Amino acid sequence: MSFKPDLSKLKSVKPSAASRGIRAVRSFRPESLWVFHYDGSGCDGCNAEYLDCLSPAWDIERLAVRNTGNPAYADVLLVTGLIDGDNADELTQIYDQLPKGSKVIAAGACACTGGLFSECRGIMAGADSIIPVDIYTAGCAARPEAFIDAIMMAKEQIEKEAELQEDADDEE
Amino acid sequence: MKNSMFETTESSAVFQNLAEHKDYRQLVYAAERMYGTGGFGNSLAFCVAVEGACNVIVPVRAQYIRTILMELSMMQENLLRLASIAEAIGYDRLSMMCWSEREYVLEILEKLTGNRMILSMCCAGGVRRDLNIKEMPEVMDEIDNIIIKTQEIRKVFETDKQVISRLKGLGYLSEQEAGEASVTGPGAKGSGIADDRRMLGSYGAYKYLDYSPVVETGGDCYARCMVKVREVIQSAKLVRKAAEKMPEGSICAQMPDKIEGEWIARVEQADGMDTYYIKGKGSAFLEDAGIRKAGESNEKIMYRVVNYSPEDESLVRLTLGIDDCLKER
Repeated sequence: MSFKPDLSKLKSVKPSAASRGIRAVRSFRPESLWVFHYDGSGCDGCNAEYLDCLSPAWDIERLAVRNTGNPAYADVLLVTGLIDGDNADELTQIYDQLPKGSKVIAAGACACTGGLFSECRGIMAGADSIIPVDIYTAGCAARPEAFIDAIMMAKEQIEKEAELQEDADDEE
Repeated sequence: MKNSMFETTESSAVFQNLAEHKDYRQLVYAAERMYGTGGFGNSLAFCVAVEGACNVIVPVRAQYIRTILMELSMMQENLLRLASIAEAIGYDRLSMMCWSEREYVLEILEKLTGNRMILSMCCAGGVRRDLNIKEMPEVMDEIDNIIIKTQEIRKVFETDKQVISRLKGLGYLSEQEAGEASVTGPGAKGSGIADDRRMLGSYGAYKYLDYSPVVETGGDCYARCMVKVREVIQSAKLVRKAAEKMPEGSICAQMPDKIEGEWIARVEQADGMDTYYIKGKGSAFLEDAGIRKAGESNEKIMYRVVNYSPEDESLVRLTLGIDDCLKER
């Protein structure tokens, strides 16, 4: 028997606050951060420095931070490189998939303000013209210490939000 | 730029866009950031082009310093490629060995210049700061340690069964095909062609250091991988030799304010030959500029390479110098 699903009858399901909002920001979440790294079109310098962070020399995995390939599981979105007309759609799609309570880091001069290439045609002046950014990190190329600093700052922000959420839950 | 003679590649379009706003002294910093890991090589190529157009002779001490920094930069780039190749095979331990080896090279660069990959040491006419490596025993000892540890990595690449079974026979490129398509870098050296821009003598102090390129005759991915490993060891030995032979003298020559004429500079990077073209119009701003990166010109070799399946295509592209595998993550 052949079966063809009738796609016209599907309803779009929006995740409710119960399933996405409250569960997302919990007290155990900052203990293990999953980072999704998005690299726009750039010189690959910040890219190489982030891969250095995952090497045994700097090793962010000892801080309970992990690299992931799926933005739906990520706690932190790390943006490096230039955002231009082609990348803007990709970046918004990735940002829409992030769970609630995730932080966005713009690392490197090109992701913060456009850097050296801000006068070029077609380049958006930084990632914050497309998506809201929480943490900015300077550098060209941004050093591994700056990446680790930014990820730890994101961890602190998530911890604070979790505490506030727990206090709000206790009051209820 | 209007009426540009240089065909537009991706990097060329951005560089031309920047050249409309910045003069030739500021463009050195723009050229560095065209490619992050190969930053020093790009700024060197731009400076060689500008000096050639103005007929300025760079002092010998500056040539030696440029050689040392270029070889260190190539070492860290080759180790990055090797780490990516090992990860693509699935040999994570070897990949992490190459990454940590690369850290020692970056530490040396930081001691000498203050930066890790984008050095900002080259200027039109010479170099910006003086280096006296002979009197830095920690740097010289570190280079000796790097040579010893890279010999161990070379032993793993040469004799390990996992590496041999995965890389041998893959992506064969014959010497005749490589010569006809004029491929540069590890694609040519792995197929038996002794072709390297450092032999031209147009930049650096290679003519004083008895330089000859590393050649393998296998023609497959294994041979190109061995070329990269042997080049790391060769670069470290060149740095040591140049540091000992460096003469006294000035580090920068006087450059005119206006650039007239055109010049093409060809520089050897880890992936092959980088080409920079500039044309002056009688002022500090350039009339025309263009870049061809090594990966863009090596791309055309892919249709001549045989004996690989679609799953192994990224591995073949890594060894040939087209990709740097940073995008696979």
